[in-house]
Amino acid sequence: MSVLAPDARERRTIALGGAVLGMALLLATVVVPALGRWRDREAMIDALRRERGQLISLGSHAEALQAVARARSAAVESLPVRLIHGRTAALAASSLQSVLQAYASASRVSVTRLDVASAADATTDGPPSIPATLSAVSDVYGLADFLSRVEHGSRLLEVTELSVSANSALRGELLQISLVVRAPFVLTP
Amino acid sequence: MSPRLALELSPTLLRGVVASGWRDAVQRTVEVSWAPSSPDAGIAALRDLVGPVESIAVAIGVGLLHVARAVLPPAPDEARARMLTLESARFFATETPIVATLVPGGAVALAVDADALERWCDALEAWAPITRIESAPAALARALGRKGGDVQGEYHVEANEGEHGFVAVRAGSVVAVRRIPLALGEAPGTPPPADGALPGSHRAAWGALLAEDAPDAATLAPATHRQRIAARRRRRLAVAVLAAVAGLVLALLSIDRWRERTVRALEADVAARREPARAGSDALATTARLDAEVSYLGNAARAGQRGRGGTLGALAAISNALPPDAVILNARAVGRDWQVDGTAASAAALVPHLDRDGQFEDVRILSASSRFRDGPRTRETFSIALRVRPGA
Repeated sequence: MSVLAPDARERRTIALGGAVLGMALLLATVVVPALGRWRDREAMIDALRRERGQLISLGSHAEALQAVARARSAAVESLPVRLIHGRTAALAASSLQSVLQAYASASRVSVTRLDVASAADATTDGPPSIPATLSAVSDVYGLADFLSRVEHGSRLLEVTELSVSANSALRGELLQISLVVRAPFVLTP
Repeated sequence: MSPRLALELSPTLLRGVVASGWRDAVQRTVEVSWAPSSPDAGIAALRDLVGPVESIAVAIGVGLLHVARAVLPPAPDEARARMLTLESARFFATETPIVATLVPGGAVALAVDADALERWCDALEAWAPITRIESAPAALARALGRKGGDVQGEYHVEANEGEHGFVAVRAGSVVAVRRIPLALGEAPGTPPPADGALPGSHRAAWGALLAEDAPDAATLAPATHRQRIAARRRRRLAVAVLAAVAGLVLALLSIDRWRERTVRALEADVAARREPARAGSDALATTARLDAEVSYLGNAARAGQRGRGGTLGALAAISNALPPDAVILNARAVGRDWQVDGTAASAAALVPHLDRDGQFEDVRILSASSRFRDGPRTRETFSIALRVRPGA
């Protein structure tokens, strides 16, 4: 035997090292990915089973659920105040714009600028809300009536900022009004 | 899988036990006469009788063995077996080469003619591989002790013509083996007992088969055969390991497919149930939305957003709280914080006036007051900040 040839102990060490390397390779390339895949799939099966159970329950109790929804809807319709509704945030913003313009017209407030954001502000707690900024000119009676409609109207609006100033450049006793409101809204299907 | 064969070689007979290829279960026993000096004919007859077999375990009968009592220094069985092999001529009075072994745990040395054994093995290996070669006494002791318990007894076994064979077993180990000439008139021991369908005469052959996977100790195989048997065992082990791994992989793949099928079936089921459940789902969503709206409106009402503390109420409260001579030129509110600018006859009197009103807090002057004449009246400018109390 050549003196350069490994002896039995060296051969055993090399074989052990090879076995460890092979095991590590097997673990890294086969076992661990397979375990991860297995876990993901079991989670998916659990989720699908839960969803299936919910769908079965919804299907079998559809009539009762619809009756509850109708009753709840009738009860909510009778409330003196509601939230702005819209299928999307942009539609809810459009609805808010219409409400503010209607209040202004009814209060004889002349709106010079109305800026309603079409994206919801989700930084507050509760439902998302749409901010709107309104600039207008009115006398003090119009201002009082407009504020009364905004705060006590059929839609929930929250006045967050108000600025009223007398402007000598305007004829009569007209006031320059700037108002920022926040309108919580719900998305409807 | 072909069956396995356990075979005892006696001077006149080949006693075989055909066993299942999978487990140690006797299928049938066979017996064929033969001549040890010309083994081919007997083995061919046995082969015709039995057919193909997977492997052969061989027990060399007492009639073909040299028996000696070997008193060796106390040492492990392996070391004593090496001593016996090294000095076999000291114990066995034969000129021919022999293969010797020591019965485990005892002082009984057994040997067989190496040339004859080579011939028998060659003839048998032309049929099937040999997995074990050992002495019939050791195999008999193993077969007798297979069912546990403290096996002991003296047994009369077949030997050469004109001899009795005698094997004594104590505590599962062979303690004496003798070939007793008939001329002595002794006939010690009883025939080995039968074990179910296995006759007592075939129990030595069966014992060799039971040792197929046992260590090499007490084997009568020549060195070359030992290497072949060891290599065959390694191959069998490797094949078994590979088969086990393959089985495991197939089982895992099968389980994997089963879970995949479960996922697909659930997905299809869920997709089919979505449409029938849509009405209920929509009703549930509507109810949840309405509940959320009612809840928010209730919270808003409780928080006073729609009560008397609104912006209009605060503006009215400030107007009412100021003295009649005060004129508001500018009012600004951010939440509950207000800033009011205007003119009054006495700006200094306004802050105490407002502070006394319970609807406000943190009333303070924001900037310096200027005095000016407005016709006959003297007026002062003011800029006041205050906070409307919650619920005011």
